[in-house]
Amino acid sequence: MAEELLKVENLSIDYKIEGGYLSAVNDVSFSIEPGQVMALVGESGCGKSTIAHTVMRLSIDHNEKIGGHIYFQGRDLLALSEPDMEKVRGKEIGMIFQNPLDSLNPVYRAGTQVEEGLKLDGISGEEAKQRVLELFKDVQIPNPETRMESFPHELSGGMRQRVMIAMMLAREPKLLIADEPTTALDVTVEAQVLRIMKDMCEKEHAAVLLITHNFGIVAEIADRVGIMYAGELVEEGEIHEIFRQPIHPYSQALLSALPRMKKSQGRIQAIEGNVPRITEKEDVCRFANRCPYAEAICREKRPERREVVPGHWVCCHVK
Amino acid sequence: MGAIIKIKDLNKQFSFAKGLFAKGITINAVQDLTLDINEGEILGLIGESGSGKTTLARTMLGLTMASGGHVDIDGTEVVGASKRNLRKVREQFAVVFQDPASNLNPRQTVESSIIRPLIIRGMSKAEAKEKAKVALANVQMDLSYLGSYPHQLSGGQQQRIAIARALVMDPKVMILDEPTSALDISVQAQILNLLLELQEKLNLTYVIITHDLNVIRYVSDRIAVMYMGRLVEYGSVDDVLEDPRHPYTEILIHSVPVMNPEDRGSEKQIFPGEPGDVPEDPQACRLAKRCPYVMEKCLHETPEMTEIGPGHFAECFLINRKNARTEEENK
Repeated sequence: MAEELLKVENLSIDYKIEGGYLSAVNDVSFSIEPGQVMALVGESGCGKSTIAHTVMRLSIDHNEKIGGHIYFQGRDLLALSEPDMEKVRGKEIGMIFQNPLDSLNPVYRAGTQVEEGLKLDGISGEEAKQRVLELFKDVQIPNPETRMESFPHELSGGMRQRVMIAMMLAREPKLLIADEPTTALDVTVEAQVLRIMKDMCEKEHAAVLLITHNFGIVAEIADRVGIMYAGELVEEGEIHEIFRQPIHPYSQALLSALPRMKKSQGRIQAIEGNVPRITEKEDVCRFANRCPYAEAICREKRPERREVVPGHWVCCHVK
Repeated sequence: MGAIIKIKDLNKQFSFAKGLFAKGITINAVQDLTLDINEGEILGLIGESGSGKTTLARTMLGLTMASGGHVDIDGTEVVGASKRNLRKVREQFAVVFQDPASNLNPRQTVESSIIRPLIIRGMSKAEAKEKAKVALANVQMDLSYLGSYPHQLSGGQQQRIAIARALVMDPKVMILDEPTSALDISVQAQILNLLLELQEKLNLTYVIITHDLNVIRYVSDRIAVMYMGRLVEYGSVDDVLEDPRHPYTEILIHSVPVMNPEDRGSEKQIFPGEPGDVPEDPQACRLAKRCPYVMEKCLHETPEMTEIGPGHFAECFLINRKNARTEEENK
């Protein structure tokens, strides 16, 4: 069994809000092996993005209460000093976001920005330029020599995202966190970017933590998927398993809500109600009041994480 | 059920003057578009950035002035119409936009938002309030929401109110521009099913504009595919999705991520380029630089809309490329 690259253990994150705390992530545990693509999927407010930011220790509002551990290659990232974390961020763990304009400096040329990263690894001058050119070719940027001189605003969305991937891969990270990497892209461009991400990560044997609400891209590239609801990881398993046999009622409901066929073939199933905002942590199942299978115990005790089949975990009393 | 909207040779250009000494740019946002929309149908209009789908919708409503061509709405010509006629046409339509917040005035209660347009049209407040109650019931929302403000509602609830507001005007045609793109999956499911129910119940005509192929497959009767300002293919859902004849439709279908990991193929074809990569020659086919079947001819001429089967049309010189290939294979 390969040594886990990332091991999240009992992670809880509460945000300070007026009048108390919002439970954004509650007791989440999962791990990622080297070279694996793990997707965290869920709807708004499920906490997936919060987890991604917390792994990188990119605080969302500096007022969180964080409990639990995030082990990366055996070291607890939550216990590191900021200077030590800085060595990890960008180098060992890279991150790309939904909107590349948020991360690309508008006044520096694309090539220069990638070079900056290489400098941190002691590569500069002509060697760095050659490396940038190679990377631009790897991410299939046409006319890479010219594009190296472009400013971000001169590039299309798809090109910017490729520059981000190049920038990130330049440091040769072991883990890439991709937070909604293709949401802002046209679908024909999305297909290209996903392929590049998958190929490059395979080539570099980098693991990926993919954060998304889009089941399509999960089905397309993930090895494992974790489904989150209201801050909790309700189900986790191998990709084919989860799609074929979702066990948690929320997973089942979510998959049934996806439009995958024509209306003449049947109606998709909506889930009644709304996602709760948890301001008071109770010992209950957070999905109980929307669950068609809820029983008394669901409102009295929080379900524990059970391995129903090797590698397939569910948090549910009933199923 | 005949055509309620008849679009013929519609053109819309946007011109930008670059400067005193530089040439201006002209963008053909919509080019040579001819399409009928039938009463009682759901027409899905699909395309990526720059396809012109939103410009088409705006031009149909007279919100943007067409550069040329005709749009006949139930007997009234929109292009070049008088203010009076435009108003008359707009009364037949209702529009729902993507961003639920932009559909509603944050300073007005739900009830105010819904009844205001009716009162402007001359309805009495009492009558309008009654209509608002019916509309809310139609979108399956509790009457207690009449007193709420938009910020107190979830995205899905805001979108329901936007639909209620659209319905209350008794439109013949609803134009929905990315109606569920900003919503979570489970909320999207609620709204899509609601739209289907309402359409059946009230015999509405919908034009649904989206980039999401899965949504379009689910709700549409017919699909129209747009690319860089041109209508490249249209037909029934079955025809367009199961027998796509325009290379762009093929590309689009292949690019959409599979919904099932079992369908993951190592042979998945990824197509090059982006929307916007168009050939220099304005006479060339817009897809020429990205098309896997491109021929010399495509670089100098735009193909014409050709019939493939009853109701199924595409504009490509190689419409029958599949048949040719199959014949080869069967030899």
